Amino acid sequence: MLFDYLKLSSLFLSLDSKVIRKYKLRLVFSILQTILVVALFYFISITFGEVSRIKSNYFPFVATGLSFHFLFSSVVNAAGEKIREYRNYGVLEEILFTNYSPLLIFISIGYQSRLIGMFKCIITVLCIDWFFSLKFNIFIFLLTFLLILTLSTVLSLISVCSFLLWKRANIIEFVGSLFTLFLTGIYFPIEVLPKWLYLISKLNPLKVLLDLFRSSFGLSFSKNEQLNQLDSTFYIFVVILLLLMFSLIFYKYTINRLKKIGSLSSF
Amino acid sequence: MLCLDDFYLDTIFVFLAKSISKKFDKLIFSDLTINANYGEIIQVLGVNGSGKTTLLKCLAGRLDLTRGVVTLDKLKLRQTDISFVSCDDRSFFPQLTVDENLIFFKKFYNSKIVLNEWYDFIKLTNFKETEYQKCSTGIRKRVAILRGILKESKIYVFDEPFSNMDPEFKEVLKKIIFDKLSSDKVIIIFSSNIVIRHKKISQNIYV
Repeated sequence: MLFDYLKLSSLFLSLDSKVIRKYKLRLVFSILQTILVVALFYFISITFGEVSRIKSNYFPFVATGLSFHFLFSSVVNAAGEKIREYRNYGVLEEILFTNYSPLLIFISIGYQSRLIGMFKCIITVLCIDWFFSLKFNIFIFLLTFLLILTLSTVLSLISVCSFLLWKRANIIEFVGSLFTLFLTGIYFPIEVLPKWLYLISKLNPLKVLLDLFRSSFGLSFSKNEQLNQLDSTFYIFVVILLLLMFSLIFYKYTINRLKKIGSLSSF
Repeated sequence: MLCLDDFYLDTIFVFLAKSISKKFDKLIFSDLTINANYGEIIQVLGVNGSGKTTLLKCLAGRLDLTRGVVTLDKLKLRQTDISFVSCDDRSFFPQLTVDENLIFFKKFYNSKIVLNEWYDFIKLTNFKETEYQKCSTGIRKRVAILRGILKESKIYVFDEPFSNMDPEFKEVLKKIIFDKLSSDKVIIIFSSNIVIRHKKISQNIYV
């Protein structure tokens, strides 16, 4: 199983590299865009100076959020985007009905986008470190990095299944954007939200994960109810387990449904 | 309860699709029994839209049956046992060359087949380095057939391999199906909307 996973991941990665070589500028612009977004928030931060709500300069707050967002969203959407691409090419059916289980295929595809996401995350981290000398805790950072990768991989499986079931509409992509944009505290502290949204945000595992991520840089912006690192890790771990169970049931249902209605080949 | 017929069919035939039915919004086929032994070649005949591809996809395990089961050597058919040769000309990576596409699928299937030998036989040598999106429909079909052959299996299912083929390649394809691929270790099933006559075809199934 592990051997097959490694073999498939490297095979799809080499395939994606061959494709992206034909569109060299796509990769360059993607990296440039990341630097531009970080630069944009840097200048916004200079404009506003220290923000009383977070009792700090805005830049480290938003840059850590962006770094988290680049990594999380790229991993969640990587497999779904590949499925969409393969479906448009017409190769999806050929890839799914082979000696390997579709589950193995779903978790093996899109590694290039995941690696680009990790690269963007690290660029942003380096930018934060460049401008601010932070107390960087490598252990907490790696733990958070691993938790983000695991959570987003599980969510990517749900995303792939939802995309296969509902064709062009990806519900997970929409819900994910809603959560990351408004309820995670990437661009603004959740304390500014209306009370009912604030309560939802507090339970949002992405928010807890982002707090943990920020704490690896020695940063803490939330004034109240900050979970400690151990509690946060445990909470995320439970969420991952629950989502994993749900994603496997959803995956089984999706494959059975697709084989029954035959929508895989008639996209 | 296992009746005598079941026992008889199971004993005699290695490949068995017994009383299979498929229904989408309307019934596609019902109560169809197909059985074969290694070395046999089956031709599925029917007009356009009669459900040939659906039947083949059901036999290949790509679609679930509404009723019935397909078995090989008394076990439920697995994807490792079957190669479904889709002759759809839009099922490759368009930006990659023919060779890059086929090398990917060769690795993907763990195939031991030497591609260069087949390029010569299937007359693809001159198109190896051509981007797939720049290939003509006929060339794309040859590439699809070669991909199907790459997946070494016990059963080969070809979906309308002879349609839209020039006469020269039709003969090459007949050699592939009836001589090169056919052996006492494989079963070949292919669909067609025109009757193909060959002494090795053991059954004609009308859909």
